[in-house]
Amino acid sequence: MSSRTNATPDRRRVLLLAGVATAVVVVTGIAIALSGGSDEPASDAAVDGAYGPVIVEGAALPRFESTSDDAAIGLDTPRVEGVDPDGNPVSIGVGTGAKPTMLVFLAHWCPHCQRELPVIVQLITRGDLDGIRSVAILTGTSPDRPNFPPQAWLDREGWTGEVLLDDEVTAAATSFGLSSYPYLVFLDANGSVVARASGELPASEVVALADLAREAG
Amino acid sequence: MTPDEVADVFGTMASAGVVALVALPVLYVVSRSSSTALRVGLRGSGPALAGAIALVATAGSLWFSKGAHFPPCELCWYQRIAMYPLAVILPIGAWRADATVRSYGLALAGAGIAVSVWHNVIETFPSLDAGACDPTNPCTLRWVAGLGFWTIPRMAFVAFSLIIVILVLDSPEDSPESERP
Repeated sequence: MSSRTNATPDRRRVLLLAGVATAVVVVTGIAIALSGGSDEPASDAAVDGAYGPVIVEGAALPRFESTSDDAAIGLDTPRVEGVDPDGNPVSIGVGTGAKPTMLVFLAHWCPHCQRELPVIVQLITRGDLDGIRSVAILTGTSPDRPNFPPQAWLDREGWTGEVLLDDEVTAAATSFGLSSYPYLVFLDANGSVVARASGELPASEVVALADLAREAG
Repeated sequence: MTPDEVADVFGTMASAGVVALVALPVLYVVSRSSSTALRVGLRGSGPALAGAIALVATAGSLWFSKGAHFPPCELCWYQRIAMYPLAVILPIGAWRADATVRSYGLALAGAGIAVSVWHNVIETFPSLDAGACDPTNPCTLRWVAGLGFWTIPRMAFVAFSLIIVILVLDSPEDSPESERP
């Protein structure tokens, strides 16, 4: 059964519309091509300042799968040495702190991180995380993605903890077993894993995990 | 032009598309009662109009990935699978005055808009997704917001919607002279 028609009076209109459509596409294509497709690149200084040199010592933690039955609990973490946005040295992991630690791995472009950061900032401000060393690890950084540079985002949100810049291959995050953002790792004072979690966590859950770290000492 | 400026251009088109989405059915109903205007005017032109929209959407999609270097997420790929063939079969169907192309077009656009609805939902409410970002390329990531509103999934939704509305309104059964043999 053929549905081919001989709608001759309409054929001219179809051709006209097709011609207009083609012209629109061609003009759009030319305009876009002439634009060069280039973004306004972030300044070299901003890009350079968004990454840090990272040195990892020790065995990496297993990749995070779930908070319950986490194989990493009790394991010593690797020791990671890097810098903050001002170039000051920052170290995380085993042998780097005298008190329980909360590591918050954040990607500036991740909407879940953007929602979680204010929750954690409020907890710190209220004193709910007193006695816990808080370190934000800025990882997965990309100048091509929204909300760059990440350190400006932390400043806007009022982050008062320490900051460590991951490198371009996310060596710090990988060594701690990151599988998704945001990613929180709680350590005892010796640098062993007490708990790990990922995704948007309610404030009560962050406090509960921080309590575990405090209890572990 | 920066990706934001290009997004403004496509966002302007999407805004016009929303106006058309509202106006076309209204005009159709009005013209249906008076047996004039749009109903007669659209007859046979639907695939060409819808094809033009698919071509523009395809051009935009390709520019954002190849020009702006935004890697398509998984849901973007599914929508591409629906949109790109539309940019080919609808113009050919229009050229050949093949009424059956509407069926193929509606099937592809229907699949595309189903994915697009979910993409828009999780982009607007990221917590409905997995609750965490894939380290490589999450579908909740907003690359651009043309005119402060038009993200890529929103523009895709308008394109699929327009294609469906045009093809439905241009139904051959509804034409004054049926195109079916």
